[in-house]
Amino acid sequence: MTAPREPRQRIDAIRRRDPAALEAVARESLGPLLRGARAAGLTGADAYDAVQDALLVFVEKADRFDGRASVRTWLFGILFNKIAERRRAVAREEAVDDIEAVVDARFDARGQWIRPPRSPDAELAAGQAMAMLEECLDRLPERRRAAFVLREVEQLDVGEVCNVLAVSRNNLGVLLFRARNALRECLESKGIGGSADVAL
Amino acid sequence: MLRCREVVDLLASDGWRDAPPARRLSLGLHLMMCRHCRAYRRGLRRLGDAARRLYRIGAADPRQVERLLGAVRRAAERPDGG
Repeated sequence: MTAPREPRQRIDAIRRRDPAALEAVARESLGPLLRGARAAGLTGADAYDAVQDALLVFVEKADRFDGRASVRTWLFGILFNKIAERRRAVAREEAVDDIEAVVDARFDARGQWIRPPRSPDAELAAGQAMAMLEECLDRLPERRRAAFVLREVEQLDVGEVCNVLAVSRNNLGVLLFRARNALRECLESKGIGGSADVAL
Repeated sequence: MLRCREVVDLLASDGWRDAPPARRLSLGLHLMMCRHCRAYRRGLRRLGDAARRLYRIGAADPRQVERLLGAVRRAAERPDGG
């Protein structure tokens, strides 16, 4: 799903920096931006500060908004830029990672399952399971969590996430592969997941 | 014929989205025949559903929100935005 494009009228109002339009954008983007900041590893007041910085940049540069991306995608881009600036160094995704070996160990030499997945069933919705998912998410490296949250929670499309995180399509694939498999393995290690029999 | 390990790659990386039609077709056929890969795909979907619920529960702190919107409003009302 792509974030909705903006109607012409709204783009114009943003570009002339109409205060009411800018405030409306800020108000409706707060929730998604805070989630994004938290996914990038910021907590408490730091998350609010990063969101405020991003919104102030938005207000300052609103006249340059061209409406090609949705305003929300644009804001995510500003936010993740700000966060990267704060950290200075943008860590490169490493060529190999433990999670690759963990996934590989589930397959034989011919690429067939030796240890098939356990399918997380309805119990994943229960309170205790949600707490476990939160723990597993906290353990993910920031860029992987950011990629996962932008795709799954904010439901940006693949190209938008690449823009926001400034990564190539291949690199995003690696981030998502690692995030999703690490979360699956983490939940399974905590006993979340029905038996393989649940599978159709 | 796709191997299960390749199916896992395509699904977890979202690589299936820009795979050529023949590869997507062979992914579809594999999924029809392989219950483990179907379980894997179902697991990914449930993971996404659960993450959406989890992240949307955490409500924002109203005081912080008002402070933040106040700063935006003040900046928006200045003609140069700065």
